[in-house]
Amino acid sequence: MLDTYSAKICCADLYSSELARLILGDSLHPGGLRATNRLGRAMGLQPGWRVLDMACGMGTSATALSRVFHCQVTGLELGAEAAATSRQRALDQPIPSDVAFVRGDAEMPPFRPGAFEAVIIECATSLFADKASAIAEVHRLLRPGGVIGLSDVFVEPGSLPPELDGTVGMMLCLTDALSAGGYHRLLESGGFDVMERADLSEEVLSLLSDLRGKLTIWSSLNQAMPAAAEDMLHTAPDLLERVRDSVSNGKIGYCLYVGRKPA
Amino acid sequence: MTATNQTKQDADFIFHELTRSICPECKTVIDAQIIIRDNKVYMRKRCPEHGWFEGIISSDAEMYVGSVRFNKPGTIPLDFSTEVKDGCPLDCGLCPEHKQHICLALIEVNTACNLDCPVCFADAGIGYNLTLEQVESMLDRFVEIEGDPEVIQFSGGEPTIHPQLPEMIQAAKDRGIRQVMINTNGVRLAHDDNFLARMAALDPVVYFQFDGLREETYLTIRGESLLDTKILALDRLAEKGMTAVLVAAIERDVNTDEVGSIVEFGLRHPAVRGVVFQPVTHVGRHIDFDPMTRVTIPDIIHGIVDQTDDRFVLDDFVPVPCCFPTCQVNSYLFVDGDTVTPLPRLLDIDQYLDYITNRALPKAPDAAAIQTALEGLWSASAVAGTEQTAGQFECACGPGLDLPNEINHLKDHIFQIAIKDFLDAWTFNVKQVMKCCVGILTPDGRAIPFCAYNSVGYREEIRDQLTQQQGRRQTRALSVEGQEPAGG
Repeated sequence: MLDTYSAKICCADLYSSELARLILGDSLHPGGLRATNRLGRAMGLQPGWRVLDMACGMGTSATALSRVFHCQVTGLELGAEAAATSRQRALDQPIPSDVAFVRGDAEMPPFRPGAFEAVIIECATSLFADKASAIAEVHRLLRPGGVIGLSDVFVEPGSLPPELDGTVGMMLCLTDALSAGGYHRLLESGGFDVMERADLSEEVLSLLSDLRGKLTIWSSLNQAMPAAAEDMLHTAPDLLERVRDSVSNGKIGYCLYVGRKPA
Repeated sequence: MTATNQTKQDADFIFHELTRSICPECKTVIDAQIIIRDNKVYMRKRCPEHGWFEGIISSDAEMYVGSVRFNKPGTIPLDFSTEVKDGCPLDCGLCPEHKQHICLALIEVNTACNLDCPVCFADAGIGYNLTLEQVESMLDRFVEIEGDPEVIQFSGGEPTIHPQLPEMIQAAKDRGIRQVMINTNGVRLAHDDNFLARMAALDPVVYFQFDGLREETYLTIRGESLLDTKILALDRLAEKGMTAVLVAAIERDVNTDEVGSIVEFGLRHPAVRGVVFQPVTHVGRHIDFDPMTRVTIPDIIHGIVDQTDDRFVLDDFVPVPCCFPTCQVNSYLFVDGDTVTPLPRLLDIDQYLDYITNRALPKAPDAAAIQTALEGLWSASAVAGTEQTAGQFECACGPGLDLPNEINHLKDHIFQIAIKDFLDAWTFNVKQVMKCCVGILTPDGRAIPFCAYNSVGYREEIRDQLTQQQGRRQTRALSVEGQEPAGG
């Protein structure tokens, strides 16, 4: 138990690291706030809803969702630093938002049953060690008729280049990602009716080309760069090309699902 | 019968093409000829009611005709807002016959201004203030038609005097719109500490009206001395680490001789990452002008080359392929201290952005990536001083550019020069408007091509409509207020 927990914390801290922000931007997932908004629209978020953002990272999505859809958003984050930073960032913003941040484990969320109308999990399901129990927790936290919005990287079995089966792969949500059908089954077996599915793989392609640009900048600047980035530089751009091919062939991608808890 | 001299005479012009335009008097859509005379390009047209009109559209025919090969296939938006009924430009917009999506959208949040300039295409004055709710729904519509919207610019009137501008900027950022800009005269930024601090926290790119470095220029174009205010505002933006793009309205015999010094000033000022030159469009309020000698894009290119001491050559300025290529030219400079290197010297841009005469990309291993990066830079959506622009610059010419080690922030070293010739009733060309990628968003969900909005009558129609709506809202509010004491 302790080992799983420390692995999770390590992963959560890794996620909030400077490198992750450099690669993924403040939203820490492909597509940034555009994809977040798309998820919110697909879920039909309504003004006044209580929304939980599971594994909310720096709180960028949670804060934006609260303002765009006029919801009361709670962000749950395991990484101590990220939880504290999100709170501070929300306070520092010139435009107020209806958002609160709680430090805690998404697999044991500290909330009452039925506390939320909606739960979003962006690019985080792939990081949960026990995905089924996390989805079961969401089911418990939603009121009857409530919606779950899940967006994540999918990897069809056997499609991941071996070089990405490490830290960098974890950073890009690749290592432990499910197949597209896997998320569908995960939601269904968790007791949800799947209402909508959309393929956002274009966002991964644009992330890859941004990443490529950033790597070129770092290499030509010849500066001290994060160690993981240095690793990447040796394998890029060949690796990026192969990932791009896999994305174009539909083997790796980014998808969103909306499910409803039966009323 | 006596024979008279029957020698045929040549016309003194080349007939280049036929297009459609509007009558400067009554705005009726009429045919227009594009002709070339003495290496200059003119538009000649006849309104059955108001007779013949002729005006210059480019002072360099070679540049004008040569730009055509920079025409890129357009991208179709996800949704259209109108139907084809009366034909271009009367069905805006966008209608399904439009040839390009919106790269850069504007929202004019108000009509009021804290200046009263003799030159103002928006004819700023009494009118309307959009509400935050209206702006939010316009942004939602923009996301709906674009999917992945690139740039939103808040304009006016003068947007900084709208009490909810900060909320509007935040609303655009919250929706994931990549770049958010405010288009301002800078007066409030120069004098209001609290406002400046709020803007610094939101950090939009500031599209900063800056017409020159001579007081007389401001007296003529803006009606008052503004130079000190402008420089104060820019210094305050620099203190806050904000990014500004200078926007200069250029008018014949007023500031055509200042284009070089505006570039030099921009290159040296820590807040400035680019300059946009706009020949004054003769819509809204403008000073007297001669349509035969108005300023066009080549005048400004020549001005920059002649006034900047061998920094530039004509070929440093390349037409922008996303809009119609006669509408805009761009250049990018890599600036390191006093060394200024235009990107077109590092890379043969023609080879990548010529879509017609040379369809084969260079054999370089990264050719496709370089082309994509250049398309990003040579686009109406490229915003100076952003990470995105810096990344595209790097990707385009990384191998040819020897970056010094101490450079931490590449974006601070990339400088953009854009020259954008907006159309007015004398130069209005339906061919350009049909592929326009700059759109004004309206509360009823339309995105109207910028030049059509200003020249055809949409501006007046929408302003009247919104002003009346606001009047009704206020009357209702007043009557509700009036009832309260009686009811309570």
